[in-house]
Amino acid sequence: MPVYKRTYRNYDGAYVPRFRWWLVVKQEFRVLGKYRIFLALMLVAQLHTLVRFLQILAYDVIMQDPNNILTPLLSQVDFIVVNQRMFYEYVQLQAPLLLVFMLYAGSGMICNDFRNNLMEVYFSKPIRWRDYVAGKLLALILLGLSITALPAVILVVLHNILLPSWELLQASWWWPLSLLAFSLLLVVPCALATLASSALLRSQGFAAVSVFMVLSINSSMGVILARLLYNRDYLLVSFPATLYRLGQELFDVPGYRFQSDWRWSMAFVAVVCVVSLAAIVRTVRRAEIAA
Amino acid sequence: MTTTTKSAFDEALLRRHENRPKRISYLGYVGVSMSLALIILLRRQRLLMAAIIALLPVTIPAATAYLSESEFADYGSQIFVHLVEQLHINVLAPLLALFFATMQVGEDVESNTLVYMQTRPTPRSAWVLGRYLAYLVVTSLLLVVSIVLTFIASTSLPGIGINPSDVMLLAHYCGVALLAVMAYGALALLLGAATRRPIVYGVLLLYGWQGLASAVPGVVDFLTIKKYTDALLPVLATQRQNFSMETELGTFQKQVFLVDGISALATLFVATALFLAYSIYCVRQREFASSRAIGN
Amino acid sequence: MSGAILEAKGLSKWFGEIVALNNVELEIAPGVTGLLGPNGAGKSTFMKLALGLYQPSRGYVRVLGESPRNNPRILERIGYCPEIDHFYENMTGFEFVYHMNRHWGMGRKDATAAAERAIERVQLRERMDDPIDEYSKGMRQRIKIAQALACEADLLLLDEPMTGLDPQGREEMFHLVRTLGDEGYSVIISSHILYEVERVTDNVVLIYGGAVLASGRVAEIRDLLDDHPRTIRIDTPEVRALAALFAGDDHVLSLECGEEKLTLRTRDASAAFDRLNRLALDADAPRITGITCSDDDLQSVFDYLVG
Repeated sequence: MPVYKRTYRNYDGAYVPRFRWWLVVKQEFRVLGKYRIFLALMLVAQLHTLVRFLQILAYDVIMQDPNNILTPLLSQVDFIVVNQRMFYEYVQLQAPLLLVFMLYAGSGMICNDFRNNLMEVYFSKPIRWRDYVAGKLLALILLGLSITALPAVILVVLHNILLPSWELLQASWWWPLSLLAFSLLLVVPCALATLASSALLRSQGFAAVSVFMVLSINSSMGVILARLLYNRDYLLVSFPATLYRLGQELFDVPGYRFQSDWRWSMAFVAVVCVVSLAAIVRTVRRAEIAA
Repeated sequence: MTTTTKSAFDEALLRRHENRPKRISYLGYVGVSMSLALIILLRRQRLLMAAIIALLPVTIPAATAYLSESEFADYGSQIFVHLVEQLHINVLAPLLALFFATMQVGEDVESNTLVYMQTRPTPRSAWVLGRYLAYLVVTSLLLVVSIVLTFIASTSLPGIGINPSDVMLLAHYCGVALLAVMAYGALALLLGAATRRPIVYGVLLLYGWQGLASAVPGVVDFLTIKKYTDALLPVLATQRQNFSMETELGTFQKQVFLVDGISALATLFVATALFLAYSIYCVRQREFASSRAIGN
Repeated sequence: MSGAILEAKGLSKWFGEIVALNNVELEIAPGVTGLLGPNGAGKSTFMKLALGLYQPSRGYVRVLGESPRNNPRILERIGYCPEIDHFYENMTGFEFVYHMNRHWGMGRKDATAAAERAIERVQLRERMDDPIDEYSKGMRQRIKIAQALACEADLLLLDEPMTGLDPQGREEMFHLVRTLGDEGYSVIISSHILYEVERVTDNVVLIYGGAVLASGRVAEIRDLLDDHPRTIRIDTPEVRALAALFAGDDHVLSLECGEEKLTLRTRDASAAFDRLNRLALDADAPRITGITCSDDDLQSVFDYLVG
């Protein structure tokens, strides 16, 4: 019977101890990029950006020119004004599409790995649960930001280029920060909730519909409760309303204006994030131990 | 050598043909498909989750009874009407349809178990109808129980007595909810049979499109299920000017283009039949594994 | 019915730009037939076409004399064990086979009896009431075969049925397939492992790159390939001396000396065997302890055909 040498065999490949989560991110983008429907959704998501681009063009170029024949016509339209409210509304209107994106891209991220026994493949490599979770989460966050903060910041820059003035710069320097913060407020809980659902359920379809179901019923309950009790503070129950309310605080635009402190809204978001993260970590760590 | 001679093969063929059990009727196939779907549904924890969500509206009458600080006008059966229309019929019915019906075929596609069904001599239509009926039973039960409990909570918590007209109202709403479950379910089933990401398309269609078409002035809302379920409500929703955001033109047009009860009922049944027929066609014609093979 | 249990004419299937099966002309006779080819050769696509799961892009396939697509008459006579390892969740082995029988169209009693018989046959009776989720890979494989067997089908299509089975399980499966063949069932069994197919039948169809390379008995296929050199491995302690004897022969194409082993490639196997027989009888010649003509197995046939 032959006795095989059990000495260490050197691995020729380069081992990268840091940024291992980036491999997971790249893998997710590679997989998503293969689906034509995903690319089509990306394109649809930018249609709104195109409309806002035209709005900025109309406001910055046409309306600033008193001799232009379209100026009197455009000045009749209230919502053409480019200000912080416009940017808040831009991100707010992207939110439903963001949810669709998250459900499309995120609902299968973990459960499909379980289904296809990829957890064992991931954890047989020098990837730990932290890298795995961070990679998946980051992939979704980057995806979310690519249809919210990124185009919005580009629009802000464009607005400043088309209408260069010190006053505008002074007035708008904080817009990108607010845009990023509001986008993160929308994207992070949504990504975490989707991933948590994907970790807890073994079906991509059910993971997607569960997130949507909970969000939808929560939103409706909040609205109905507020209406029946004639008290807007009950909108706090609605998670989307809570997020929009925080966005309004960030952009300083009047809107829901609950009586309750904004910190309550922030606490609600934090609880959702922590609970979701705990669910993801628990499931993934179990898988790592099993692998 | 394992190749059987022709005569031995024919002999075995004949023997097996004689021993083969007699196949059940078409309705039997529907029943078999339905019973398997029910077993799958009832053994999942997801059902518990759906039940909890379906029963959430029951908590609202309790909340209004105990949390209200203002002298609000809506109470008792009015709260019930708001809840059934705003939550049960327009939110829960499509949600439960998405939750259960899309996955009736969709889950078999997703989990690769469809191949077992496709290689059985079950008529495809019987299989689809059985699945749909299983969805209908479970969802209808959940929704009707939720509506009845909401009714009880709305009337008994504030100490309002139940009179016969209220019971008629309850029966009416249960009927409309069942029709909504029927139509939304058929559409969701179709999405599960025709697409690979039925939930995403369902969200886009039932919430994106339906929400948009209901808000936009014009006749586009004729292409939504909501238009017809609303038309069947005890008092036409469009005449009651509830909380939806509508332009003057939109309100005007909606009042002009009303749908009467009979037409709405007929439309819901026809739409359901069409959705189901197309679902059956998809299950017969689609090559489910091949679409996965080429990554669509 | 014609002699063939399965007949394909010009059968082609493509998915977008991918050609999975190309112009397959084939007739499969009753009995056990091995569908052999490497992964991605088109075996599963062929089986799915035979089951009617796919519509042929061109040509046709007839099973038991009829087109199988959406044809309950044919589907009731086919049992299929898929390659995929997926089941309904929260179901026991018995329940799975029972429900599959019910979907075949059996009544409750028939479905129960047939399920028990089939499970018995794959030797899973003791574990039939356990959830499938708790089954080992081999048991899952067996329960899939049980659902295919349960409906007394005339034709069994077994897609990679040996996957995941341990050596004993494989032996049992080989035995089962051979027994089914002896009982008059027609079985088409696909595999990419040559040894598995050889163990159950010598009747094979070789598929590669979506095309049928050859079909028939292994020996017949080999005879068609006489132009190809054959390899003979000779076990001897005197390798160099034996090699020197063969070195001058015209039919010898190459000689390879190993440790107590000489590998000879010849264009005339008969001449080589004659020579070996004479040497074996000659007391002065190097001692020959074993002769293996490795080309008789499917691997070499397959290697020749694939090039």
